[in-house]
Amino acid sequence: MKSGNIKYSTLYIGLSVLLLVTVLFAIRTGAVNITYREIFISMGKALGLNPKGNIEPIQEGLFMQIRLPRVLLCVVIGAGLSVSGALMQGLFRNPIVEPGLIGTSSGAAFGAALVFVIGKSFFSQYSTLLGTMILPISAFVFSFIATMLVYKLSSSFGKVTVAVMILVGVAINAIAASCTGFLSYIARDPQARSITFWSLGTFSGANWDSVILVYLFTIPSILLALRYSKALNALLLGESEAGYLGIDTEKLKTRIIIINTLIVAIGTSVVGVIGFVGLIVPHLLRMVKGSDNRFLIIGSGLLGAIIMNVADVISRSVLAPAELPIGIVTSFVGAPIFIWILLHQKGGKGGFYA
Amino acid sequence: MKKYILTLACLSLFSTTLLVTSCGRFANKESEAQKKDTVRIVCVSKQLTEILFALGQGDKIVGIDLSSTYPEETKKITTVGYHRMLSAEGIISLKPTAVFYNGGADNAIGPDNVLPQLKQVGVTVVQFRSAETIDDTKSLIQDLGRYFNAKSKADSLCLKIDNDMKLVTEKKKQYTDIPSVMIVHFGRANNVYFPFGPWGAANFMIQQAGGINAVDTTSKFRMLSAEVVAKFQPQIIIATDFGFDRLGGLDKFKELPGIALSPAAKDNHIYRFEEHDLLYLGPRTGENILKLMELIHKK
Amino acid sequence: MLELKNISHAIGKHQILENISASFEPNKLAMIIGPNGSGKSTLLKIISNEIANYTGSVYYSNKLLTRKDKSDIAKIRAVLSQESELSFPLSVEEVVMMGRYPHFSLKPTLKDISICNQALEKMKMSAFSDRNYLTLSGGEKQRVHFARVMAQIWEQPEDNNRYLLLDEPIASLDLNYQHEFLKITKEIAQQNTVTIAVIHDINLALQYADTVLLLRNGNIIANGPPIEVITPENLFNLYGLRCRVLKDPHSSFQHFIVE
Repeated sequence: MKSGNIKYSTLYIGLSVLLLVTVLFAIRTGAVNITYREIFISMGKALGLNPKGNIEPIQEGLFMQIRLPRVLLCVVIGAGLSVSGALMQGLFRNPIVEPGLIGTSSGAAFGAALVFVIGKSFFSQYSTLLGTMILPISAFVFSFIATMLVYKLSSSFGKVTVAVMILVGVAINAIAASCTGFLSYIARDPQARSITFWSLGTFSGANWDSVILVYLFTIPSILLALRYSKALNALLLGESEAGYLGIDTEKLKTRIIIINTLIVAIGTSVVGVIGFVGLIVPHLLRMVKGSDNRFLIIGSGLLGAIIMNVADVISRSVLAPAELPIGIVTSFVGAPIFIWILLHQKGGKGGFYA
Repeated sequence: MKKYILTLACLSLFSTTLLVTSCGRFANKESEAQKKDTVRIVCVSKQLTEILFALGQGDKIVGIDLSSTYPEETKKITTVGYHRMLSAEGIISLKPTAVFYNGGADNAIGPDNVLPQLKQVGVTVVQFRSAETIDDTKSLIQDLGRYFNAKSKADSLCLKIDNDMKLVTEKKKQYTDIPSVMIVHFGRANNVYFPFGPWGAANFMIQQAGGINAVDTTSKFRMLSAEVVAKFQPQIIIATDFGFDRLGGLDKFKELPGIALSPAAKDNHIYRFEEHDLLYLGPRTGENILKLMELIHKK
Repeated sequence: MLELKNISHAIGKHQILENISASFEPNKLAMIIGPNGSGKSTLLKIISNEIANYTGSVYYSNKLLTRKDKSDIAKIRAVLSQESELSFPLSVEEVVMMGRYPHFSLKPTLKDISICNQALEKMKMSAFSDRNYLTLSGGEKQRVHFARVMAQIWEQPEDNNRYLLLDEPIASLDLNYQHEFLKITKEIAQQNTVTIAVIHDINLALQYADTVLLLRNGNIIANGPPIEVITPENLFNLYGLRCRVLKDPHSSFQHFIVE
């Protein structure tokens, strides 16, 4: 690492430009391609202007109702998952931590499966709002219960230590996974299929409701996380040292876990489980310019959005007109990159990457 | 060196994407070349697909779901994926004038948002009835016949069904025994079996063929363990094509745990049957029942 | 001024510290000496507000230390540990900037940056400011942390002392830097700073300390100027070793050698 070479601001601008290019590219590309002219006219119409030129209603609908919400959802979920990866890695002082390790994902998966199997018909008869909200709520509740259970159980030994937390995480994950497995066993065919596909993740169900829901929770969470970047940096020195720098580490941990659960559970409830993005993105950034958490959070937000969009373009193009679950793409591309990082870093000096 | 990793990773992703999307474009040009004023149907139900072909409308189908495998011509048609994992974009890219589905329990469309998305974009989405009885099937054929102005063709299909079913009733009389039949879907997967329970098209066909479904569980459990399969003691086992072929034929199949303990295995009464001839009712249901009847009474 | 009144601490039935009372004055370098397990580090952790479940009281400038003071006290009190766990890539500059964290809320001010640079200069580490911390040697890392700790309490608070707590800070340093380090520590102490260091080397204590506190099994054996406190009798009492004093003919320095 030569951390002095590139300025943070240069990196932010570079990543922002790249994100913009990727978003434009992603909006245009898919099973159907959309031209800039069509994008321009559709946007004009949506903003209440009267743009010149005609557009096929199908193309306009495709852009406004399907493609645009999908790309925007990719941006926010890619950003959210990557930021949550950065937060967890900072909190645990371990670069291979992911939400799956401490019960967050498996809890969310169980919450969602529960809705698939018993919830949806039961709740949707009350109102459409509750009907659409019940999945994210259930995912968040169980994700939070699982994460807090891990946290509380590991803190019952006095101070929360990372090793104990991870061991308890393994146990809680096993419980949550077996509950989900039980549900998919007793489920009738279509429900069991929903659970299966949900566990691979897809953006194909994106609509404006889900976009608004996820933005509403994720963006404030990321901004809030940014406030803790300094404290997370101090935590890298160790819990005692962070305490000497005036940081209440117990409070910090609880807050970071709540923020993280919120981001992961809401995102996962909408698009399913998408692995490896949260693991890889902070890794790449750390190799480029160190582990300052302020940089990692901002950078992860940008780079995560970029990578998620690229992965989604692949997922909707490779089998077009059919579609590949994005979880398959991210794991297929992410896992080799992860291994490559580990091997590549073997020759380097110092730290976890040694 | 290491600072280039990010750039490298992104570049590789981008190039993959470009490669992939250029393939997608190629496919689009083909479909754009076709005329716009023709009827273009995307049909995501195997039952509807077969009836459309039977009505002589198969050439209007531009996209089908993965489970639509009859008739043979379906193999040349673009698939839009599994019917529970459809993509609105993919369907739109085929520029359909209408999307056909019938939302039966076995034919659920997913994800939930796909149909609303298609409607929002302005694609015509047509739902037909899900036919689980012979009468419903005939009505469905008439519905589709009206849609395509092919009433005479629909009438003759219905007549064929009536004649076939009459033949079924007559032939059944010659058999006095009522063998117990188990239909095993997908063979054995993850140590469990997927037999058809006492509901749906396959169960109906067993009854019409003069047999009785060995699986008399009333619960909705679809996956049965080897022990339960052995307990049902089927005299005949019908294995659908995929599971039967995957396991490598009769000799392998009859050695499976549970199945090996059944009278069917001991007497070699295990037969292969095409999945798409059992899962739904259609114009050929009568023929298929006759085929089934011969198999289960073969002794 | 830092005061300890009747500090006791036990883990289960095991008494770590027993009724410790002492006071430490600014402008003096105080050292705590004792064998392994005598409670030195525990005492330092109580003073630095890391351990809370003790009995007795700690007063910083006549103000009782409580659990809630964490962020306020961090502006005037810095702690340097034996070694840090930091195992993520960060630049030296970023590590030193952590010392300023108690002083700014989101982004460092120009003053914070200038203080970091001065602290690095003081530790002769300016040339390293862009280097990856992980690529440094053990001694260099410790110097970076010392710069960080200095940056934390760089400014004199208006109506208060500064407090610097050091837990075996020189273990990983070579001879040259051990002396360098203690000279700088003494210099800081003399600028209105209450300075307490846990240390093992009796001879360094004799050379640099203004007061020495001897600790054995959680009890104070002696507390006073090094010449009075570090005696062959006390050392025998402390370690069970017989020592001889050697006087340097060229200066007033005393040295102890173990027989």
